Amino acid sequence: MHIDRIPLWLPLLVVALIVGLALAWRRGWLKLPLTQQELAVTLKILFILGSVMVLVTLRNAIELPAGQFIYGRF
Amino acid sequence: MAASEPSSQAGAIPGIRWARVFAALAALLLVLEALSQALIYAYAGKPFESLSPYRWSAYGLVRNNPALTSPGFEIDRSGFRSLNEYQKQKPAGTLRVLLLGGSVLYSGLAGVRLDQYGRVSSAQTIAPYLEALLAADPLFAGYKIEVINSAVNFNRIVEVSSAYLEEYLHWQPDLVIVFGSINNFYWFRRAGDFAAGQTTLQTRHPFRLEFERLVNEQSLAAFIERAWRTGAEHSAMLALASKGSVVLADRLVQLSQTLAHPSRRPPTAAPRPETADEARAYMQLYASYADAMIAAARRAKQDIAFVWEPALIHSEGSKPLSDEERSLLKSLDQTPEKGAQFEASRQAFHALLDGAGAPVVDPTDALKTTPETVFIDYVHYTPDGNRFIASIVYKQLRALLAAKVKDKK
Repeated sequence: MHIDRIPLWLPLLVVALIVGLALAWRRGWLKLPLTQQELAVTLKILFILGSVMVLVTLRNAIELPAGQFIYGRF
Repeated sequence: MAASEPSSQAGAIPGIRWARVFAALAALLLVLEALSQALIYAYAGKPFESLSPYRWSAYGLVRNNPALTSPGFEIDRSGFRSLNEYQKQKPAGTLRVLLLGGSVLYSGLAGVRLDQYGRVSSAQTIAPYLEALLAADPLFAGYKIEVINSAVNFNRIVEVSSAYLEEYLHWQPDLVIVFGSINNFYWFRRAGDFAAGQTTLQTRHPFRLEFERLVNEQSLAAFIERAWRTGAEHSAMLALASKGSVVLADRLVQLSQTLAHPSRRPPTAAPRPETADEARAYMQLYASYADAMIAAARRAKQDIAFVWEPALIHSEGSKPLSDEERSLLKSLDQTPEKGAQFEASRQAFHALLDGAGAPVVDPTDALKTTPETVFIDYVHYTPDGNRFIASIVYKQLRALLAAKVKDKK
């Protein structure tokens, strides 16, 4: 359990939720109003947006190594 | 013709229904936003406003973010770490004490700490304990006591002085107490550091680097970061994603540094501490900021005092350590040179401020007879530690404040 930032159980819960939704869709319990191709396009858009965020942050982390940030980043 | 129809149908790619794609994206983002809002509410016990701990300030670099959503770090509308609200215009019949400083006063937490104490809440910092002591003192009967905690994490005298001169001077405090010495004197100064401009007071504050990137830089990366950070102030999902990506990026950088470590050149010799001349020059630099504060306070008829902040790492032998404090010491890198330099800085700090006629509160002697746990990590205090420091400040500065009351009458 982390105090200063987001609790550690949070990302685990999100991952579990995403895995659960994917399983439900694969087994046919969850009907999506999208074809497989449309779903792929939707996920690609999400992936690109997420990648941009991580890449920009990574570039900043390389420029300003984490060791300096004893009290957390902006 | 008839034979070609089935083959052309089999090869046809059904069109993508873009409206559905974007509707699905919108629905997914809405669900994630609702989930994020719920998670933050469960974590903090209040609705999401912001996960940013700071706001930029034109003077003093940053202030605490009043909108911070946190279960323990409550910030009032003026950016003070407090459960109370204070007005800039001092109400009649009020004795106002303003505390300036860094994380010791803020009651921040370092990475290695005594987790059993949890987070030190805004009701358990030095300020509310001092306020309670002054309010109960018959000398100040008839006055409303305000002790304002304006600390910002990792504030050095550079940031403290500019924040005071630009903003807090106008809050009309009767007494200003300057904490934050640890951020000026904790880090070891090697021979040559001062000439190279590499001492703590000469280098740029880490937040300044973020300021330059987020505010002044005009690159595409900076623009994208500004865009999603702006979004994170309005969306719990983006705020969580932002925090998550920062953690991920920092971990990746740390991993790469660990992997790169064997190729680094080992240090040839133990670094030598600064010379006596360099120590004097460093103290002169500190004095230039402290003198400015003292002069401004006197001109505004405000009393001013300074607090020396001890460090756990340098307390071995001068404080009877509790078992908890002893366990913390194991993770700290203590050397006799560092301890000697810290002690020399303490004596120079006293000499400087004694010469300037500004009182110094120094808990070092009181710690010698305090076996209880005071430190929660290498330098910050437990709630009882904050109470202990508040009592020392109260005992030493009570007379100063009483004289102020007498003058008012």
